[in-house]
Amino acid sequence: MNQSEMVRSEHEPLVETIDVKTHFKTARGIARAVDGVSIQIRRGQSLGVVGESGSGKTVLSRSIMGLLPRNGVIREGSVRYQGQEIGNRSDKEMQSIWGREMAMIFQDPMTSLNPVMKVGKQIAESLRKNLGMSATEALAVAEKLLHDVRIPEPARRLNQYPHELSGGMRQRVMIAIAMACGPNMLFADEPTTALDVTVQAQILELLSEQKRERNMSLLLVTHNLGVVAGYTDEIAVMYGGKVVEKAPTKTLFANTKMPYTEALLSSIPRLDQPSHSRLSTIPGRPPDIVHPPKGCRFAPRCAYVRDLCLNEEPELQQADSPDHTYRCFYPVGSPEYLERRVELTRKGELVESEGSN
Amino acid sequence: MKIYGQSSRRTRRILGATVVGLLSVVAVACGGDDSSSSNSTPAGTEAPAPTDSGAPATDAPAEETPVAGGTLRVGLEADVDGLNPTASALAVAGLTMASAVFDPLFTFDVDGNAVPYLAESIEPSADFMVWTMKLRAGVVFHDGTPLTTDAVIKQFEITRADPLVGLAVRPYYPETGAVVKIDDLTMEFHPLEASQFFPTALTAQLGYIASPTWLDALAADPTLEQKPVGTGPFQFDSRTEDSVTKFVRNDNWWGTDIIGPTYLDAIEFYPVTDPDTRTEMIQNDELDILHTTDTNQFQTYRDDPTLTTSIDDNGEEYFLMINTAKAPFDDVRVRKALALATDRQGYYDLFNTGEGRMADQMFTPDSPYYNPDVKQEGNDPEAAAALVAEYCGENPVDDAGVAQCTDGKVNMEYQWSGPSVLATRIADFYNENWKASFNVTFDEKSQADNIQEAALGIYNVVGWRQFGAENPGDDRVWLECRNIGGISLNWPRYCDDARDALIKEIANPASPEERVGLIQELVQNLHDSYAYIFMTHSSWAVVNTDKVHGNCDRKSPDGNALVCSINGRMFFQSTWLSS
Amino acid sequence: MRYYVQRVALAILLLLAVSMLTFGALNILGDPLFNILGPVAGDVNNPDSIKMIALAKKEFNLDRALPVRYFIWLSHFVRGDFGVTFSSTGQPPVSGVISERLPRTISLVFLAQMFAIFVSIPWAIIAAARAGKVSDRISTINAFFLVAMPNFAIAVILKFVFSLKLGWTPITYVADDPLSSRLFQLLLPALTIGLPVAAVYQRLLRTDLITTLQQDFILLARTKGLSKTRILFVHALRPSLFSFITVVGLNTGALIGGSIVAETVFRIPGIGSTLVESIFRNDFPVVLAIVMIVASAFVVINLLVDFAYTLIDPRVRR
Ligand SMILES: Nc1ncnc2c1ncn2[C@@H]1O[C@H](COP(=O)(O)OP(=O)(O)OP(=O)(O)O)[C@@H](O)[C@H]1O
Ligand code: SF4
Ligand SMILES: [Mg+2]
Repeated sequence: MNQSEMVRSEHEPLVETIDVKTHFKTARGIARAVDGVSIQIRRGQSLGVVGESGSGKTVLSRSIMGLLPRNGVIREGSVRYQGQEIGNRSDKEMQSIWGREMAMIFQDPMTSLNPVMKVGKQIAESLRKNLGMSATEALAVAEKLLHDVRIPEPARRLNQYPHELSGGMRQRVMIAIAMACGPNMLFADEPTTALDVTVQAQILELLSEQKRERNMSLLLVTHNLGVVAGYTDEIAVMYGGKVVEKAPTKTLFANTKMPYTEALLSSIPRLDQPSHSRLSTIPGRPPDIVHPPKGCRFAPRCAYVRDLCLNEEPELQQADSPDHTYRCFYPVGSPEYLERRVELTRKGELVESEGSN
Repeated sequence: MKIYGQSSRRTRRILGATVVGLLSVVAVACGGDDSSSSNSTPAGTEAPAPTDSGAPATDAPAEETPVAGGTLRVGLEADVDGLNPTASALAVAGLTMASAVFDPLFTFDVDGNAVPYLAESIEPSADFMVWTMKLRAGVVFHDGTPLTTDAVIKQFEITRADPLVGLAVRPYYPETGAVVKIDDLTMEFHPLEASQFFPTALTAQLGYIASPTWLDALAADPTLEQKPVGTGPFQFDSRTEDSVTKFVRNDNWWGTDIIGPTYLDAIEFYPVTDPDTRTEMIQNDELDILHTTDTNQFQTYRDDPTLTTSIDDNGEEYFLMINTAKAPFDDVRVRKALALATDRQGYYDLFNTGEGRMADQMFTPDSPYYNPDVKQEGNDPEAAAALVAEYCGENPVDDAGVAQCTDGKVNMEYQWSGPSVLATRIADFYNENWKASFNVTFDEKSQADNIQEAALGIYNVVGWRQFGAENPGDDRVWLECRNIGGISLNWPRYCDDARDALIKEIANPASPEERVGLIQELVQNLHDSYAYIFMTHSSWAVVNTDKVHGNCDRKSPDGNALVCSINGRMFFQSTWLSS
Repeated sequence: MRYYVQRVALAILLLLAVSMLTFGALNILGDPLFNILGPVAGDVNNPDSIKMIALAKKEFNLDRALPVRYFIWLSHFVRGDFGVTFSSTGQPPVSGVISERLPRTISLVFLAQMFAIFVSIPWAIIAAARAGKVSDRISTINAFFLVAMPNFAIAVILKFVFSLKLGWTPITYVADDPLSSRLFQLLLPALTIGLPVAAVYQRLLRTDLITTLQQDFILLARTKGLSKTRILFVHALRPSLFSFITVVGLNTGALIGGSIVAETVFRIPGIGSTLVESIFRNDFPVVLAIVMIVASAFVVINLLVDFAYTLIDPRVRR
């Protein structure tokens, strides 16, 4: 491997999706859960995926990992891992990637651990399968992993069942399972949503620490922009199956372009508030992904909507830097935006968004 | 604990065996209510011609010499409760098993005469009132007990004391002194009436002599009923109820030198109640020989080249039996009307499907006793209606004052034992026949109740099977006035002194020719009583594979050739198996 | 512990209720005298018969009031004395009939149950793994076919194919044969009653497996890179077994019911055929004993099922 290749591979994304579409056949029609998403995640980088419930965050991460149901799914576009196309691989072919190369942490540690299997075994089986360890070896490693994720008395936990652990501990177990075989790419699908507020920060801290130590890439799905802020390098905002704005974290906060992102920002729940106060403060309902509105999908809820928005779908635009893109005709700061803003302020309908941040 | 009475656990499964089956005690084969036997009728015209007392069951070429050894597997239509000749209700299956383990005092030869077997000789007095019988010397039971006069007397008395088996014995012997010991091997029988054919009474259950030691032990331990001890060519080995009973050869059999060797090492009796299963088993080499009354199987047997079938329809008849002691059938016009209303031909066509023969009387046309003048009426609904109109016109009432007719039709009940699909179909068929002149109430009874009510005379009309005695005179138990009472063997409760006189004469005819005439007269008498509507002759088939030989080579100690089978009852003393 | 004491107490109450109902029903529905005495039972004008009837009534306690007879029976029954059959000789004792015949029925039902369990589990797993595909649909049709088929029809077909056409198996059971042959002879009867039950189990387990397979923890197992087989057998099966074992317990009743047919067709002298026979004969002591044994077996098996829950799911263990 010569130097240029080395350099190239460092800049080459670890995971890349090109115009990925994941549509479900449902009774009502085709549900466009993910509708043309292109993202890149480089080694050691973390990408936050943010959006309201139903915006397609989970489906996107599962599309990348190849965990979609087999029936009733229409898949298009390309998913690459280390430059290789993996989007069309069978489950059997993916087995070598799962666990060892990519791992996933689920939202609800209550339902995501096998209720009838001891914790130790749940960690160990992955080690045995992927790294060929013996049962005793694997258990020893499992104990070490439990220690790594800060579970007290790891040796005892090995023989406990999930229901004997607290929610936070279960999520730590899940992280241990995900970490077990040293994956390069970790998907964390709302890893803290189901947890107590006090535990959420600890878990996120643990995750990013593990990520740093192991030089993993991380895709962190959340609906909480506040969470992403501290732990991600880049953020993709999803709406109705599309990425509507994507930018490095700092840029996104400093130079928000999409009115939707702005709305999200204005409704960030705080870590000191009950976890279930979700993004309910944006008036209106998320778009119907079976029959999406013509034009901008956010239009029915957007304060800055104009005729154009209702008739044409905005293309992906580049903002000030090439790594900042968005889909809006009248982005934050545009003359039309400002004009409308003045009107709204006059009417008193506008809530001071900056104030809540 | 022993309470006298009969309960046949196993045999009750063959319909009607309970009460009537045990009467084989007097060599009277008989059946009960008919729901399974209705399709059991004799060979059709195309079928092998029925022969007297069972056709040869094997076609062993003469040059083949018998070989010893092997186990014969026999398929029986039912299991028995026990094999106690003094108390068990032995129907055909029971008699088949009993015939292997017990020897009868007398047995029928191919000419229908009772010839000595365990008895050495018998001499009647001039008036046939005293019969002096001598037993064979040196005979021992399987348990080593010697055969003596005492054994025979003991057995006779126990049998007579049995409340049900005794029913067919008590009316014919004095209360004391029925059997008198002369010496260890000689005794006198003192029947109440003279009969030239007395020895026929000793051919079946009453003549199957059991070890007196065993009979004594039985009183204390009734389970011993399952382990019979006789003098027969085979002795008890093992038995699992409802599965298999095994007898092995008795190497000390008294008859080996006089009669000939017993070839089989063992016999296994398999009670198989389902006739289809019996067929399947013989085809699958799980049986060597079987008997059946299921005519549906006959064609299958004929079609199988490896099977030999002999069909015998000289036994019982299926008929509708009428209670003549109870209104409305106490009036002969109503009985006759019922016969006329019955579509006998239709019954035959529908339920006999080409097998067997219709019956006009208790004998087939092959029998010397057949009375060609006696025809069973039927298929004449107009004549029936006329008789009913006449009867109902008199506005008859029974003893309790209940009217016997409604809307110009006679009220009656037809009863059968169920549940059985076939029996129900037959009942429907009769209803179609009768409904123009009769208001028929249908009464499906449990088998027990059906038998009980027939025995006690609580019925109008019931399907029945009977009249299979090897010696026609022995069917008298069903006919005589003396057998009407609490439990009546004369089920129709029809008493006719002229008939009783005739029966007496039949027992003592001046010549064989006269006897034939008398029996034909009895046939006429039966017909004229209208107590029975004869439908069909029942058939027994004995079926064996081509490995089975020698069934018909049986001989009596005096060298008389013996029958191979009697109405499904099989004998295996001379049977051998080729490999 | 307390839970178990309660369960056992409830079971005993249940059995008492069953025994009372059966005892009562039998005595209302039939007249045992005929079974004991034959037609003599109805011969009420004959002094000899009357004497015998009186004697029989005394021997079998038929002259006592129903509740008294029940308690006499119960006090004997709990001591293992099942009484004697209603027959003139009072022979054989019911316990003799039962102890001779029960093992045959138990082996039949046990074999059938084992067959049903070990066939239905892989069958359900394969079907669940291929849910909705052609092979699953075919297996669904087969299962419904088997469930809908009466036992005797299955018996006849099996007999025809395996005994008569192929000649592989004997047609009937012979109680005196050596154990190995008898087990072989029980094959078709066990299939006869086991097949429909296997189909029921398969339907149920397949549905539960499909539900389980949609659980997050199955997805997690997949992300560990585990093989499909391991996921199905190790992760999906155990949590899906709840209704399965419940139904296995409950279906023991169906199997005993089916054994009546199988015992008749294949000539197995077990308690199923004896029960039917005894009902026809009004042989109450035998009927009662068999009903009680079957009911007890049923209750015990379902207690065991409750216990099995705790083995399958640690969460029930407290
Ligand atoms: N198997 C499926 N079949 C049909 N529709 C599906 C399927 N899976 C997901 N969807 C639909 O796709 C859309 C996106 O779902 P997804 O779970 O990705 O949303 P999400 O952004 O993760 O939301 P949440 O924050 O609630 O987890 C939803 O409308 C959902 O109903
Ligand atoms: S395109 Fe129009 S409707 Fe859509 S977000 Fe921008 S302003 Fe709002
Ligand atoms: Mg989600």
